[in-house]
Amino acid sequence: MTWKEDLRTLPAPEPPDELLWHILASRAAGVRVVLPGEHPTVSRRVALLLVAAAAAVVLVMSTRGGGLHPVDRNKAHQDISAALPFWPPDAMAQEARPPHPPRYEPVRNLRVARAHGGTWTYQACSAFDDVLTKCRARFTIAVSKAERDGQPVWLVSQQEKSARAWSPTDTIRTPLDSTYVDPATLRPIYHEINGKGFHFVRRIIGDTVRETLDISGAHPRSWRTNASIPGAQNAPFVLRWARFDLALLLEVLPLERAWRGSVYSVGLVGPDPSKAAIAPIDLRVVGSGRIEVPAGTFDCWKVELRQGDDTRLTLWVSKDRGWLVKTELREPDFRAESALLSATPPAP
Amino acid sequence: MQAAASGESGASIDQIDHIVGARAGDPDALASLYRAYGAALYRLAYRLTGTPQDAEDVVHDVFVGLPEALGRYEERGSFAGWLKRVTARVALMRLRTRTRRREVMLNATLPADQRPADVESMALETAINALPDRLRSVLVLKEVEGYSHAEVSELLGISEGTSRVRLNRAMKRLRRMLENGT
Repeated sequence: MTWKEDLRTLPAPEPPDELLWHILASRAAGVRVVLPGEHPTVSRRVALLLVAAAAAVVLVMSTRGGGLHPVDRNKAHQDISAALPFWPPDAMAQEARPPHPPRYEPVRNLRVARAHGGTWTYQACSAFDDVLTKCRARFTIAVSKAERDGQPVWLVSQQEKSARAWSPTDTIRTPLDSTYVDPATLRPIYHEINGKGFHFVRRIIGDTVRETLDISGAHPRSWRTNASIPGAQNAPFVLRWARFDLALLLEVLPLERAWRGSVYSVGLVGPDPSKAAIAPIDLRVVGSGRIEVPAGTFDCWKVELRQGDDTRLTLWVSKDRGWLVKTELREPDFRAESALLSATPPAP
Repeated sequence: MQAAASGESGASIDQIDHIVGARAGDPDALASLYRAYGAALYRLAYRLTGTPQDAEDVVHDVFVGLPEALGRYEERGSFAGWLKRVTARVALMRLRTRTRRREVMLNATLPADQRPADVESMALETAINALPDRLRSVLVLKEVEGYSHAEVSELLGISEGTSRVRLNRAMKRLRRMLENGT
């Protein structure tokens, strides 16, 4: 027998006798654990390359049943949270718990007059073990002046297009997702994804986010839910959790050497507000330098972004206009990068 | 994904009763499922996480979450296979969130009566546990549990190509460690 054959016959320990008792005691005490779903989940790391619009698509896929009725709180949230591993780590806790506190002071002294419109397109690449590199996704963010309820707002639109792994010529285009942002505070006030067969809306009134999901088609579902947003009522926050959600905010942050600040991110509230994906993002300037991307060469602040214990991103933000020029997520065996391909208006 | 890895067929009539009971929250039914599958799932979790403590936590979480998760079980294919895939995913999630590497080697953490009996097995076990998590998980799923590269890629959220690359690296490292005795 070779050692390779030995692999299949290796002895392994038996579970301790008391394990069953622990399991039954946990159940009896009301402990509940959300298990991952049967359908293959996308790696959280890879999913960081996706926009949350894809989340709504997954919601459609992960719900079933006839007749328009509210989503079952427990079951639906399990399906959703299991299928969306890119929610902030706090939202993926096995048991509901409050978000960890912000690491730094809330961001303040925003230079709101510095915000400006434009269109930015990024190429996103991922590499495993520094061997297999894929650059299949392109992401566009557009910022423009608009009006909502007679008030001036920033309209931030995002869309991603990516090639399927098994067919590079077959592309996935996520539904357009639009966020209206108060130009004075950089607080989102309305967010909408209008996809094929579903309509997802979040309204922010005061410190409350009101979330609505309506799924049509053969298995219609819906929910209406609210959650409180922590922090001051005029503090900026970020909707969802994707690197690009910060793009407008980065334009106005008073970045300088050793700067640091925290801002809340608001992900999916879901049918059970106690499990709402709300968690702080901690930002700090860790350096500066000149970097080259397809759109040009930029003098940048290097900003480290942390959420929870295990997610670290590095963002390169141009010093002159606050553009998000490059992002990088690094883990021991994985690297995800996005780089600015083009911008309108063009780089100064 | 098939249940070839487990080599088991679908659930028996009794087991179906237990599944229905556990889904309804009956602790006796859950206990019956644990007695039927707990040991195999524990071994899988142990292979993937490398420590009895992590394996225990994984199996605990799987069975505590099972009644609600059974609401999603569609009763297609092997129940044992479905349970193994769920367990593998929970173990892999644990690996991803584990912030520190194991500092204690396998043989120091296992009770004496559960250590491999012969020197070769002990060396192999030690070598497997010395592999980085990302390599060990592919090796265990492919070579120990018998999953295909397509199934491994689904479970790990990697491409089939990456699965092959990692298995190749794991095998090379394992061979080197066994030959050098390190």
